[in-house]
Amino acid sequence: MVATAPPVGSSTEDSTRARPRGRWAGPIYSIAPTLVLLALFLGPMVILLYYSFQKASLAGAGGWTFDNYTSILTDPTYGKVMLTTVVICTISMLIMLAIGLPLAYILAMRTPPRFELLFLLMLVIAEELNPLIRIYAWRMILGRGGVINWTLQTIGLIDKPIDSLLFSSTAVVIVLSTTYISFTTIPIYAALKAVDSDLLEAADDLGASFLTRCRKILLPLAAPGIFVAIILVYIPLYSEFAAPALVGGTSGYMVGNAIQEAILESGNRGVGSAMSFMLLVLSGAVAWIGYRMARIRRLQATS
Amino acid sequence: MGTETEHVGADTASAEGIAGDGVALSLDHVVKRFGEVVAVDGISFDVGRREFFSLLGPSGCGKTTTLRMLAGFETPTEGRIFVDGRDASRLAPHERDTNMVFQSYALFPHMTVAQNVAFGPQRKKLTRREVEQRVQDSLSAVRLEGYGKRYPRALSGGQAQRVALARALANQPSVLLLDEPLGALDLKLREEMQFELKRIQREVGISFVYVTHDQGEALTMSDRIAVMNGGVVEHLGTPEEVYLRPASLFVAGFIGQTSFLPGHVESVGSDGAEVSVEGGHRSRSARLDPRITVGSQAVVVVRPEHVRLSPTEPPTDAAGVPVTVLDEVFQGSVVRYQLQGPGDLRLAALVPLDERADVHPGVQAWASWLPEWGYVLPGTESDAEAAASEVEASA
Repeated sequence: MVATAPPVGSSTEDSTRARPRGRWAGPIYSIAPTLVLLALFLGPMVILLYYSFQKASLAGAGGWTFDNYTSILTDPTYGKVMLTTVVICTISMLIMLAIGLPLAYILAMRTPPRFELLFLLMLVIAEELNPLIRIYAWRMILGRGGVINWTLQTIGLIDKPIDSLLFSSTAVVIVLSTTYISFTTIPIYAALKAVDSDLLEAADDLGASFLTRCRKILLPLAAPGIFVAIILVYIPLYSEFAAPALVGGTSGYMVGNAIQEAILESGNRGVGSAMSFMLLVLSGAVAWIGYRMARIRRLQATS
Repeated sequence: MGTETEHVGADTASAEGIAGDGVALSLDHVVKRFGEVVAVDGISFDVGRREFFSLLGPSGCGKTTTLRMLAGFETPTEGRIFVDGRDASRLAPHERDTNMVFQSYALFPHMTVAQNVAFGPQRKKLTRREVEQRVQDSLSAVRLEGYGKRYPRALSGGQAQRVALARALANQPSVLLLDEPLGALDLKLREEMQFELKRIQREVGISFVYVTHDQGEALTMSDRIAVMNGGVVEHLGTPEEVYLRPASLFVAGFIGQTSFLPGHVESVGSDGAEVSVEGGHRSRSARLDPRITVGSQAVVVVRPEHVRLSPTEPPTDAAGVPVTVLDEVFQGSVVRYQLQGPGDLRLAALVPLDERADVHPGVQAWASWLPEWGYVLPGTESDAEAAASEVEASA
C-alpha cells in the first residue's frame, strides 16, 4: 500500500587492496583534496580580499585603503543595483518555490511509481541545456518579433509589439526562474519522499482539508528540502551575470554585471573585488542561516 | 453461500449486540472492486453504540478495505455506509464522524505529543481552553499525563500506540476505527494493551471497529466478531457463538484450533446427530448446524481441548475414534498430542496435565470427546481439506 523508494545513494564495498587504515586514514586521504581546495578556492579569495583593500592603479595595487568599501556603501548607484539584485533574486526564488513545491509534491506523492524515474529524468535533462542557448531561446520568445508578441498581435490583443518584454527586469526574472527549477524541486522531492503517506491520511481523518494538510503536515516536513533548495539556488542567483547581460537591459542590471564591468571594463579591480567580497559574506550568512534552519527541522522531523 | 450465512449471523446479532443502545454504524450491501479484483463482496452489518466490534480474518479477506471504506479513504463501488444514520458513503475522511488509529500510528513527527492530540480538536474550531481540556482528557484516558511536551521519536512503541489512540479519541468520534493497532508491539505488551483498550472503550463509551487477524485478540476484546473470508462475512456473532457454533468450516478452523472429521449423517434427532466418520466409526454430536439433514455429507468439528485420550475404548457413550499417537509435547499446564486417526484423519488433543493418560508416541489409543463438544457442519471431505489448507495458508 505504501510505496517506498530505496534510499538515494549507496555505499560501495571495500576492495581487498592494502590501504591506510585506522585513525590516520581520514587525514591521509583528505590531504590532496584539501590542498587543491586551498589552492583553487582560498587562494583567489585571499587575492580578492587583498585587492579590495588596495587603491586602484595600473599595477593593481597602490597602497592600503578602505575607499573601495566606502565608495560602494555611499554611492547610491551601487545601492540601486544591489536593491535590483535582491528584488530579482527573491522574486525568482519565490516563483521557483511556487512551481517547485507542487511539482515535488506531484512527483513524490501523486506519480505512479513506474513514471517517477522518467519524470525525474525529464526534469534533469531539461536542466542540462546550455544556459546560453536557453537564454537565446528566451530572446526568441520574448523579443520584438518573438512568439509572444506575434501571437498577441495575430489574435488582435495589441497593435504594436510590447518592447518591455525583453531587456527588462521581468525578462531576467523569467529566465532565472526557469533555469534552476530542478535544483529547487529535487531537494524538496527528496524531503517529501521520506514522508509516510499515512501521515496525510491521518491528518485528513482528523479533519484537515487539503490546504490544511499542506500547511500543517507537508510544508513543515518538506522544510529541510526547502532550505536546501534555497542554499542551492538563491545564493548562486546573486552572482548571476549572463542572463541580465543578455536580456536585462538597464532595468535588469545586477551586481554580477557591476562586478564584471568594474573589473573587465573599467579596470577598477579594487571596487570589483570589494563588491565580490561583500557578496561572498552575504551569501555565507544566508547559507549559514539556511543550514541552521534545515538542521533544526531535520532534527525535529526525525522519528 | 456467503450471503446466506451472513444473514443467519446478522439476525442473531441484531437480537443481542445492539439492542436498546442504537446503531452507530451501518453497512448496506457494500461492494469494493479494484479493477477486476473484488476486495469486498457485498457485506452488511450494523455496529451498535458502545459496541466493541471486530473484523477478523486472514490477510486479503477484505477487512482492511472495509475499514478504509468506513474511514473514507476508499469509496464503495456499490452499497452504502451510514454513520450515525447519515449516509457517509461518499464523504471525505475529514467530513465524517469517524477516526482511525493507524497500524503505523502515523504520529506527526514534527509535533509534540500534545500538538498531535490537539490536531483534531483544533480543526473543529474549538476555543483554546476546550482544545487543552480535550488534550488533557485524552492523554489521561490513555494514562500518558505528563508526556505532552515529548516528541514522538522519544516514545516507546507502546507509548506511541497510546498517543495514536489519544489523538483519535480527542476528536470524540461516533466510531473509532482501529487497524491492527497492536500488530507492532511485542507479545507481552500486546496482551496488556488488549485489556487497556477494552477499559478505554468502556470508559469513553464509543463504538470501536477493530480490524485484526489475531483470533485471540478478537475473542478477548469483542462484543461481536465478523469473521471475514474472500470478501464476505462468513460469520457474525458473539465470541462464544463464533467459537462454539461456527457458521462454516473456515470459521471453525480460523477461530482456535480444530480437528475436522468428515463423514455421513446417519440420523438426526432431538438430542443431536449421529455421523459415521472414516473407518465406520460412529460419532454422536449433541450440537449441529440447522442445515444438517439425514444422509447428507457432514463434518464433525472438535476442539483439541475437548479431546481426551485413553489406552482402550472408553465405556461411556462418548464420541471417539481409534488413533495412533504421533507426537506428544509437554507445555506446562497442558500436554499437546498429534494423532493419526483412521484413513487420512488427523486430530489434535490438548489434555490438562492432571487428566493425562498413559499414552505415548507410537502407541495405539482411543481419542474421545463428550457429544456436546462435537459440532456438526455441512460439508464434504474435500471442503474440510480446503478449509484446513485455507486456514493454514493464512496463519
